[in-house]
Amino acid sequence: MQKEVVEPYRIIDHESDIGFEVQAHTLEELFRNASEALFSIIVENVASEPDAERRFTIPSEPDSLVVFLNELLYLWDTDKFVPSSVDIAQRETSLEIDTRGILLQNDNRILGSVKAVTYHKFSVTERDGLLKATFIVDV
Amino acid sequence: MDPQKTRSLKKIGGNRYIIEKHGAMLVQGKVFLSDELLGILGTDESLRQVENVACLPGIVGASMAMPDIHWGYGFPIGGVAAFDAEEGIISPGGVGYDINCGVRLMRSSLELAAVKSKIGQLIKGLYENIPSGVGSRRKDLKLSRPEMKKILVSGAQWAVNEGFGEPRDITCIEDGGTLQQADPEAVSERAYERGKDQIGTLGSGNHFVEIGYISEIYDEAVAQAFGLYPQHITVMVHTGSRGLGYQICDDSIREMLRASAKYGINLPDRQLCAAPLISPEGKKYFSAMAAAANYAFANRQMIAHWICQTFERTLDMKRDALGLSLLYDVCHNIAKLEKHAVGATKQTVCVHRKGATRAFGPGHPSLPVQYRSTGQPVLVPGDMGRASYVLCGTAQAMEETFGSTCHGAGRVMSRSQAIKASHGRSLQAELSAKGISVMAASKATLAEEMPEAYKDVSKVVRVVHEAGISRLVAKITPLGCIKG
Repeated sequence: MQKEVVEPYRIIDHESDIGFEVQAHTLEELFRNASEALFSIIVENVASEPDAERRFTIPSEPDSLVVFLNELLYLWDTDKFVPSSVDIAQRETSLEIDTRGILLQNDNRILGSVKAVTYHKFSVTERDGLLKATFIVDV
Repeated sequence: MDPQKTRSLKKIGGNRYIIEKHGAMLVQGKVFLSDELLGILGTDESLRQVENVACLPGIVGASMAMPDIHWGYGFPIGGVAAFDAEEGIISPGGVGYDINCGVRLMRSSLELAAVKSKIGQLIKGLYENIPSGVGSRRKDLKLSRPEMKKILVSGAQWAVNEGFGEPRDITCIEDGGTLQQADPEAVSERAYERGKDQIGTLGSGNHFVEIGYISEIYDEAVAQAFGLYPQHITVMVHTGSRGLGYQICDDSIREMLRASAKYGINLPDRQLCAAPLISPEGKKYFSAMAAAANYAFANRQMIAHWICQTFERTLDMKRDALGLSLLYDVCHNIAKLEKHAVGATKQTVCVHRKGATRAFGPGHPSLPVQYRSTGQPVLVPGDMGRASYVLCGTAQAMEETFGSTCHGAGRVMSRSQAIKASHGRSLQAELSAKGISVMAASKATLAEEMPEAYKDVSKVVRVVHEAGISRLVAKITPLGCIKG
């Protein structure tokens, strides 16, 4: 059966920071959509072919999505790495992340900064095969 | 007024509301607000956060919030809470990601009339001389790891030793610009990596350097003691510990989530994760946080040096002739061990100020001699279109708020609302029409930081003044600013 097409993410209003609601059918897609949501407020659409790759491993735990997104922020802050694809290999106690993207050269495409993804009101729920994550970032 | 928002609030007068102890709250909540500011609190989330903080182990006095309260994560922004040094906790969520985000104010002997025509040039010079914006780096400053460690240990003193500013600046910085508890070994490799190129940079978001002038004096004697005179030019800096602080906070939150479970700390919000102050996890966070605070003190010290340099070059005058000198430098996001009266006894407590300013009153031994009779200078920036204020600390603050007061205007509009509201407008042109020259690294930042996105800071400082937890000294009207 063909999966229903869902809106990958939407911005939730927050007084001082920015919140996101992300939807996906699989964990990998959820991570990819969350990464896209996060970088939508950091850099203007980067359509270039990926020319850089970053691999890292994080523990498989209820907070994995926050840990993953904060790792991306670290790579952004230290390398200007902008992810465009995310592949995940699920191991027994960990997630092996393989992300491809570009190292941004042109600062004119930067939209804003994100200090961190917080645990405040963070949740991942599943209903009828649809994963939904909510998270708030400190900007 | 939303009844849900005010259900748990009880007005006690004097710009004070309390939230009576209920549920798991260990102490009551106390919020400093006028009826008008209560009416514009965006949601009840921030009040719920005051209640959540009141549930944390070892809290003493009350879980407090200042009139610039707004929805944060974990603690509300504008939150103040003190925890017993032996029985209490320390929480990275009570300090925030931008550790020691703070403000410094320099005053000068320059008068508005003499430099009004040069403000545009000065702003341009500041924009060129101080790296600002996302990922800003100073290419001429490459620091080795041992040098970074020196910054984390010595803070502003490191900067002065390296020729950024003058020895006399040190006494005019909260805690002399160096938190002694800092331990560079408590800082992760990743935090060093993230912070190594960002020292001496402003960053983005609500960080700024602003030129203004003293437009009103409320207390002549104190203003004189602070060296503030009508029409004189001032420069304010607002920035913090940049990526180094963000990473330390993120590292610590992950550790503290485990520690909270280990020590059986019940968390109403996971961002409030904490550990006993005397536990290994608590001590490690405190040492790392102090290191980040020192980085932030050094950062503001360096930026102040480049401000002086820019003024000297643009106006072709020496620093002494400009009369540019540091009034004070305060932390807005910090946890500190301080001695305060708790009931009938004086005890050491760990005061968390998240979006709040220390406001020590007259006679406090930690104040520099020149401010000991007046109370500490309190610096409260507003938005870029209206005003900022200088206040002084009071004895009332020492009795009631662990020597704390408000830190700014507080947001009233979300960032996306602000961007929508700015659509089709030129904020730069609007500010320019008001005589305010602005340069920003990003158009989006300018929109998010538009004046209407904030409460009117004049109403905020009026609340703390009337409540007696700090006292108005002078108003600063903006002339120009650089934003990240």
